[in-house]
Amino acid sequence: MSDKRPKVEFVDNPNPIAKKIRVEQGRDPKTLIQKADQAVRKLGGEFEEIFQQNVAEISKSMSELKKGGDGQSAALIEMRKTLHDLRGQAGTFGYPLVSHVGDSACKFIDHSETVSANEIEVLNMHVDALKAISAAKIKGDGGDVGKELMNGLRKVIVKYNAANST
Amino acid sequence: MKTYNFEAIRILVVEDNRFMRTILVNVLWGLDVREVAEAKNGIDAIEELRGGQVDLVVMDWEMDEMNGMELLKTIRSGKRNINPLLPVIVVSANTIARNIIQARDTGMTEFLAKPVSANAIYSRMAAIVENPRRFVRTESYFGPDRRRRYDSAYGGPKRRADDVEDDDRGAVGRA
Repeated sequence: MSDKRPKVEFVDNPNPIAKKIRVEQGRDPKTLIQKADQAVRKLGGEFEEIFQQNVAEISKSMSELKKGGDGQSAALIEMRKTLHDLRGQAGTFGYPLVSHVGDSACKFIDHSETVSANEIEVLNMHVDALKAISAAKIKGDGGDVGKELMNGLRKVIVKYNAANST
Repeated sequence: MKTYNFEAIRILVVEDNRFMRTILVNVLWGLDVREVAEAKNGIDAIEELRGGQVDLVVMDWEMDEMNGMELLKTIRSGKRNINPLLPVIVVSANTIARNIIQARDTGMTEFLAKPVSANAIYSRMAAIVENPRRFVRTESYFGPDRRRRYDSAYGGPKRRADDVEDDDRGAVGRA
């Protein structure tokens, strides 16, 4: 009888990195982690500048999207890239609300098959939210204002989905 | 949690966004990693990896020129004189399940969601040291064993479609 089972081979992992890393007895890892957090916090000022630039770039892409025509596709790609970078960085510097808004916008773009007035309206709400957070420098989850912003975006997306479901 | 000394390892950070690269490098320096190499895409990373002096790769998944998936495939292929067993931490802001499964099925070692924190990076590095997984080669996959937990005491029926892999693992374990 022939054995039709797929061939599977297992390779032992020599894990050479473990031989180069030693355990430091008597030292709390929190100390090391706090030191690394501190090294990142030093970049906070630069992030503030990048955040402002990103919001300006996203607003510019939004204007291109509204114009329509041949430049729309490139503007959407550019906007998604900036939003993606922003969602990946903002939370590290105390702006989780920016990460949430950016994440919502990226997911909306990823799931949208067309760019019509309806999609532009939803994206525009996200851009306005980012502008508001940037202008007011809303850190953390934004408290009640942050909740209101995110609920507003969720409602707009739910409404969009309902209108676009067959 | 143990405190590890990372001074002797060399890490390659692959990230197309300059500022994000700076964040990752600063975290690693803060964790006392002395040697951190940088690459802005998969193509540059391959050049760096061919030297063979890298112990761990921390890579972004979405990159313009040669993305994370292509780079990880190249690493796991063992071609271009790159160690296919290198531990790879995939970092991504895109945390939808499809993305994570794609990275897992391409052979990542650990996944790290952005925004990153020093604690999250440290815990992924500690996991690589503490829980090394053996590698699996099938017709369609080469990479760390995707099943992180294996209960050798389980003696019940095996109903999963890929349980043949499990059977083979048992056979290898007994050998």
